Parts: sequence; structure tokens; C-alpha cells
Amino acid sequence: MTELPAKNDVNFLEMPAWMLEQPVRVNVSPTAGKLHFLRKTMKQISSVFENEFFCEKYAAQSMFWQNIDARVKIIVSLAFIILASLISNPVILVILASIPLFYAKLSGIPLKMHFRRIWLYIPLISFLLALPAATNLVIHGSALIRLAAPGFAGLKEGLYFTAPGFLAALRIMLRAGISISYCFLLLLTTKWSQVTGALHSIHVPALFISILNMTYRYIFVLLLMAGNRMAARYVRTVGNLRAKDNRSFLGQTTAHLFIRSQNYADEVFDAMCCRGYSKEPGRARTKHLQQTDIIFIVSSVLAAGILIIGESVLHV
Amino acid sequence: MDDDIYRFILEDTILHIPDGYLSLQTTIPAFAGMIPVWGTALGRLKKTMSSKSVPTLALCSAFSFVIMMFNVPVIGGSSAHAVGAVFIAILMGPSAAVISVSTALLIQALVFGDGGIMSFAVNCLNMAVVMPVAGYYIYRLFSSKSKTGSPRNLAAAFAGSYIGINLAAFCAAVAFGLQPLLFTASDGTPLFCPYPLSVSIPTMMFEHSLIAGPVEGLLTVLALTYLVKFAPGLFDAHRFSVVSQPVTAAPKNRAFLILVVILVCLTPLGLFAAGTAWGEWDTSEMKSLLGFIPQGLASVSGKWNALFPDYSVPVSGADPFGAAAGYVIAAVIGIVLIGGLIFLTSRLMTRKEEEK
Repeated sequence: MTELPAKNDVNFLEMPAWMLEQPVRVNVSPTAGKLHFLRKTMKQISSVFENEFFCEKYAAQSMFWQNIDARVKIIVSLAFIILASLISNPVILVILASIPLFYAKLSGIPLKMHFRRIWLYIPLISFLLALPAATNLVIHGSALIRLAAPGFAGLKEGLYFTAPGFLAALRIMLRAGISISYCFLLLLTTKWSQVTGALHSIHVPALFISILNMTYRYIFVLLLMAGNRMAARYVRTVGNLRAKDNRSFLGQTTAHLFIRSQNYADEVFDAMCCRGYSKEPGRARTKHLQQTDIIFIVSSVLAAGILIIGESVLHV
Repeated sequence: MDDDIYRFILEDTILHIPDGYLSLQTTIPAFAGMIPVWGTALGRLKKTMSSKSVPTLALCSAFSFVIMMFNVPVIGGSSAHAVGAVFIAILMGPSAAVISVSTALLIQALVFGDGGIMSFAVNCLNMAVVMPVAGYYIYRLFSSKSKTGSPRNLAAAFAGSYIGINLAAFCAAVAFGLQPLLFTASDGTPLFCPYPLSVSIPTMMFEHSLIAGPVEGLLTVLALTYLVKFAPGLFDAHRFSVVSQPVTAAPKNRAFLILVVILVCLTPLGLFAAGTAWGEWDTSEMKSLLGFIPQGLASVSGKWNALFPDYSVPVSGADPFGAAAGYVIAAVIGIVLIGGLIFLTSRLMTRKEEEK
């Protein structure tokens, strides 16, 4: 056994000078350059995978909405989304928007996540987008919040949010939120195969269902491919690149993905034939509705009835 | 979040219309209109495509979905989204583009809430029908028999993509802008999108003509250039479309189309006409001409409020430009409606004859 040098041995401790130097911080982060578009695209691609992970996780549970037939869930969701378009009273719309929150809680979906994923994005931005119309410049009415005094920038009455304008913006936000709430609830509590099976049983053509199913599956394959290309470009680039080169890269990626998708189509078709594909789209097996489904339908009809009565009472 | 707001305002709200902006009276007729379009597209594909159709269309739809996630760099580090509908139409044909983009939009709406469920058909009409079909035929018209990948061919692809996305944006703007005209509460407050045509059209066309249009055109051209270089076989062997076949309908109808465009451009001449056209009298003019108002006319007067009273579409106010634009839009809508009716009648009659 060779003897280890003593700690005070100079040769043992001596390090090259360059290794002892403090690292100089050089800003070589790709994000500092014009690669922001890659970061954003990769973020969106990873959000698709994240979404799929959550869908799988919550759909596998056995709770309230998970135990309801997918056909019933689709029809009830659609009915409530249509109802939201017909209702104009904000109070009734708020009640309608709160129903999916109860369903989410009873189905084991964390309310924080539900709220963040639904209300803090599209509905909120829909509201912000409608806010300019809530001023007296577009929708007239009594002043709610004054933004500028009369005479400001040549405006005789000044600038203010009107009460009817604010309500109009609120309506848009609530309707957008209600629609997304039901979609997310449906997808988070139902496996994709059940969703498409239910669509088939409500007479959506089988050919379209086949295309939809395969599309959903291969979206992840192509996204992975695109994500890998983006990541490779991202980690290899130091400093700035011209926007022209970046656009050229995206053009090449688009073409490359198209070529790969066409190659895949041929391979997938061969694989389908090997597995006995009969060139006729398969038919989903339809199940009878259970007692729980009937109870859910009745309770939904009652809830819709209460909302419609509330709308007519408050309208008067 | 700032980027998300920017992206949403510029792209998602504009073309992926969420629920809440459009009334049921708009979205349900759009579904009614789209069902035969989807049926026709699938029917055409069934006739022309090989047995590989299902995987090819599915992969094409997946491709369409992925393309819509790309952020294309624009200016100063900002980016915009592409749709890729015209690119698919050029390579696979308009019917395949209709089905592929519609499928991608359905998954976006269902799974990610990008675009509403009720406004799905309107979104499909704009992005899966108007954009690829118009873009494809513009491409065919401009490229004529030019060689694939030649400067003329690529310029035609750019024009097709640019005009296609702008037409889609225009249709979305019209859908937005009609809401406050048609659907208001008893106190006049808009029940759905609050912006009139005078706001929605300039806002959306400004953004699409300057940012989204060039981005779409450029991406199509760059991708086609790459394909010509590395996979030229895809142009000749694509399954559903007939890019290599010359356009036969365009030259035959060119004279007719030119005539229609000239007539549409001449419609603002109506502004110079003094007085009311014969037979277009309103009740007050009728009273001054006849001395009384016929009872039947009095009973129906006021029950019908025209969509564009006196052809004054509120595009840019009552100034001469706005009035002229109103005449042109009214003429285009009229021609499309009547032309569509005649076309449908002719198709129905032909089918009946064939059945005999």
C-alpha cells in the first residue's frame, strides 16, 4: 500500500494558479441574447406535458366527477357553458362560476391549482382586454371609478369607468372562466379515451374520432422532437444571434417536423396494418348509465332551473 | 406574465376567440355552417386519399398543433405565434388543412382552454377554413405554373399566407364588431364583445398586417425553401392535393372575377347619387309622394332594422372614407350571400339531375 503524502507536504497541496483563481462571471446565458423565443416555446411545450401529467394523475382517482359517465359529463358541461351565454346577470354568473369549484373540491382537485390554472389567465386577461370598453368613451352610464377630471385631454366629461361598462367586462370574464372551468374539470377527471368514446356515442363520426385519438397521441411525439431541437439550439448558443437566423432556424424546424411527421405517418400505418387494422375506424363500446349518473343529471337540471329562475327574478 | 398578456392579446384573443365574446346567435349558426364544411372536407379526402389517410391526417393535425406553439422572433426580442394553416394547405391540400387545423383547434380548446368551446366553430371558420382555403387559392393564382421553390412560387406562398391570416383576422374582427351592434341589454349595454367594428377592425388589421401576417408568410417561405432543398419528393407525392396540376378554374373565371371586383369598387358611386332610388322610399318620403302612408307599410315599418342602414357600416365613422368602406363591405357581403345561394341552388339542382 502506497503511503499517502502528509498534509504539510507542499507537493500535495500545491494547486495550479489558474485553478485557484476566482471564476470571472461572464454573462453567457443564452437568455441574455435574443433566444427568448426558444425559452418561451420550451416553456409552453413543457406545460403540455405537465398538463398531461395532471390529467393522468387526477383522472385515475375514484372520486365525484371521476365516477360519472363521460357522456353525462360532456352534455352537462356543454349545457352549463350554453347557459352561461344566455345568462346576463353577473350575480347568477358568479353562482354558475362557483359550481365547478365545488365539483373540483369533491373530485380531489386542489382548489389553489384549479383557481390558478383557470381564473388567473384567460378570464383575467379577457377582463383586462375589455376594460378600455368599460370607460365612458365606449359604454356610457353612471361613473364608477373616475380616472381623469373633466376637461382632461379635451374630454368634456373626463375619463371614468362606468357601472354598465364594468359589468360588461365582468360578464365576459365570468363566461370565459365558466367555459374553461368545465373543460378543465372534464379533462382532469376523465381519461382521454373515455372523452373520445363519449364523443363517438353522441354521434361524432368515427373517422374523426380516430383522427382525434391519433392526433392526441402524436402531439406528444412531435412536441418532444421539437422540444429537443429547441433545447439543443438553446444550450449550444452563446451570445446573440441575429433575429433573421433565429427565424431561419424556426423555418427549418417547421420543415423538419413536417418531414418527420410524414415519415411517421407511413410507419404508423404499416404498424397498424401489422396489428390487423381493418381500414374501418373502431367503434367504442357503449355502457348503460348508472344510478349515480341519473342522480347527477337530476341535480344538474335542478341547479340549472334555479339559475334560470334566479336570472328571470333578478332581471325583473 | 407580461409575455403571456402580450401573447394573449396579440394572438390568442384575436384568433383563438374565448367564450364570452360572442353570442349564441353567432356561435350556433357558425356550428351549423361548419358541419357541412367538415363533412365536405372529409368526403373529399375519403375520395382522394389512400388508405393511409387516418395516420397522415392525424400526424398533420399534430404538426399543426405543434406549429401553433412556436414563438417566432419579431423585433426587439418579442415574438409572435404562427398558425401554419396555409403551409399545410400548400402541401396537403385545402381539405386536409381544414380537418388538420380543426382537430388541432379542438384539442387546444378542450385541453388547454385556448379558444372557447362555443366559439370553436367561429375559430375553425377563421383559422381552419378562411385562412387555408383563401391562402391556398391565392398561392395557386399567383404561382400559376411556376417551378416549386422558384422566387415567384415562394412569393406566392408568402402572399397566400399573409393574405390568408389577414382575412382570418378580418373575419374575427367582424364577428367581434357585430356583437355590440346586434346584442345589447335594454339600457344599450353590450352583452358580449363591447368593441364596435370601428374599433375591432382597425385594431386587429393593424396588428395582423404588420406583425402576424409577415411572420406567417416568412415562416411558410422558410419552411418551403427547406423542403424544396431537402425533401422535394413531398411536393410531388403529397396525398391529397394537386399542387402540380395547373389551376384550371382561375383563368376561366378570371374575367368574371375582375368584373365583380370592378363592380364592388364602383359601389361608393352611390354616395354621389342625389335623392332616393326609385322604390327605396321610407315612410316619410312615401307620405310626401302619395300624401298618405299605406296601411300595410305603416304596420310593418320599423319592424325590420337593416344590418347596415343606408349602407353605413360603422367602420370609421360617417366621413367619406367610412361611408365608401361601408358601401364596399355591404357589396362584398351581398355578393357573397347571393353568390353562395346561387352556388348552393346550382349544386342541389345538379345533384337532383344526377339522381334522375
